[in-house]
Amino acid sequence: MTVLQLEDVVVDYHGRGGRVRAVAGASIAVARGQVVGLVGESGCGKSTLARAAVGLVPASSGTVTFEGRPVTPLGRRIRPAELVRLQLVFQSPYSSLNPRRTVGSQVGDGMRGSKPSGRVAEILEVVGLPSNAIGRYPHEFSGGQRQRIAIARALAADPSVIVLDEPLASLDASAQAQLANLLKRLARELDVGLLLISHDLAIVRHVADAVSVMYLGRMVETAPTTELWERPAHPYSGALIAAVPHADGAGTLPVSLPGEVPDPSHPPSGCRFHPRCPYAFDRCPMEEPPLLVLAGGRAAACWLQRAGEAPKPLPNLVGSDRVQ
Amino acid sequence: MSTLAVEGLRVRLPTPAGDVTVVDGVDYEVQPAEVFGIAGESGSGKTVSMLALLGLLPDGSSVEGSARFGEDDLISMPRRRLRSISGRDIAMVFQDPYTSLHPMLSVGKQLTEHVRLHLGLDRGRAEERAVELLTDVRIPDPHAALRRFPHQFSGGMRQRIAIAIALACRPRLLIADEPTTALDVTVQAGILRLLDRLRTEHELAVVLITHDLGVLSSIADRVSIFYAGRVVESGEREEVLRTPRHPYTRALLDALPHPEAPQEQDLVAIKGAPPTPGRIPAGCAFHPRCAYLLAECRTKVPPLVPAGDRLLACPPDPFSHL
Repeated sequence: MTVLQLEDVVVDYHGRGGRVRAVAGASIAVARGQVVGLVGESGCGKSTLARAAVGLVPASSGTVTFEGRPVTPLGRRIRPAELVRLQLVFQSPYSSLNPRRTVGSQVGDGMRGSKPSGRVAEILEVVGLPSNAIGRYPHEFSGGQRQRIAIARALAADPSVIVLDEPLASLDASAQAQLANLLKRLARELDVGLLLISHDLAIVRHVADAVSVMYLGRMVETAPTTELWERPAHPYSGALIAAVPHADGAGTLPVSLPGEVPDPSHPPSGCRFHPRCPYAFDRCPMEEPPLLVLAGGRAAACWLQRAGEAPKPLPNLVGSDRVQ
Repeated sequence: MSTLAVEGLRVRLPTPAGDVTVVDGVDYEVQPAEVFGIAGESGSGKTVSMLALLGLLPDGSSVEGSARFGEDDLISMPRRRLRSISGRDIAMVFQDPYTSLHPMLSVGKQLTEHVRLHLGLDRGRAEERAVELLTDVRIPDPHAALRRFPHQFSGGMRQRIAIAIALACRPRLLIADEPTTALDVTVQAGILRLLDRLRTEHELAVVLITHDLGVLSSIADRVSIFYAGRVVESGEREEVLRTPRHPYTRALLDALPHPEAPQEQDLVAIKGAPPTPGRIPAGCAFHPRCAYLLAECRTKVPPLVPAGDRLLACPPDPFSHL
């Protein structure tokens, strides 16, 4: 059952240079017990979408609903109590934890009413921290452990959905593996829905059940994780996968995607990806492809695909001068 | 002849709790046009071992050993001479192109100041050289780029500019400390390809420091794995990463999301956390986290010794049969 649903969400930022459309109509849904990955390069709007999902930034249009109720943007009024069950974990546990308060009291913040220390210890155990962590301070912990404290804080509110913004970035491989396994366990054992924002498709693949790929404010592909990894339907997803370096000792250089993410205040005409797409043809700069629903629970916004059909594999370009 | 040969490098840093050994006896060599990769977790001493060569450690640090660079020893040479070599014959690229470039100076200024200072070129020649460098690192429209400022470029382009500045004086050695860590994978791939091309075209010896074994695997020729200030395994990239023999190297590889591994399989994390400098366990520093330890591992520091096709600091050598 879908708990968190974003539909056609548009988020604009207003700055000196005028309006910047960070999210230009994106939809995503998270059910209880499900891990949904949201991937894309920096500047694609994925963090903005995460913030819109929890009401930290207002959506200019579109709807965000949580447990059937609209998510209202955070303002001066008290937040509706039921929204407590929608939690956000930030990227940097160094800045999201208060350095001068003990771990126990910060985890206790999320609980309503009395804060029995037994419950705090229980939550710390769930995230794999020793029970003596209660009386200690954030600086006594490593980056990976701090991230687990941040997750414990979110869990204290007994959430049905946690949105995690790049929780695995800036961690060493082993700490990253520990946290990735923990996230999977939270979804399976506590039936929490997770929206996992990451730029690292390789780690998302190990954690997420479904993945949405975002480019310049729009979803370009949505698919079950394994299918996306094995047969990407959108050239951008293909490029993200080909850019992942393999630690197999073979000495193969990863494939780079030429060009840069364009300025979101002046997106390219037609398909937003066409200036960087190795497969672009004459239709692409003219007409923007909608997110076409394909067979097998997949969707892709690409003119190479046809609605209702199985996704066509992307032509092999290795050795061609259109990839580097 | 190798460009850089480091022998018996030991670094002690001052801390409020007394001096702490951060690098404890490290040896390696780098040849021209070769990428030598150093990998390890945070706090393993990989960055400090580089800063030590360049005299960039805080006052009160002590550095032992030797680092032969051409005819010179970087460690014993006078500071003034080291300063003229670093930035000219030895160049550096750091993780964060946001902080390593000056935000208030145009790209052109940062590139020309540098070549004028070190190579003594006049303004016109320096500008020509700057355009040549920006072209070399594939900055589009290099003439216009000279008049722009760092904030007008993306992270990947900024890192390319930092590499152009590093290359300005035709260095023989490039030290790249996590050069792609702050970048998107698509951009990272471009920077790795750039470094790979430059090292061949410029006969450049590269020391690449990274925590990412994927990065190491795509570009390094030889690698050393650092743990708690020591090298635990060292050899050709292919041997070390395909058939790792130190339990730590193996554990690091197992912790990675392997692109070919089944998705359902849990990642294998290494139990515990890397030790902090100053609290390094006795014997083999990895022994509290190791699944293959023998009694001697708790007491005797294993030496790094030849083991077939590589150097290995693990007497039990549990994977020698593979």
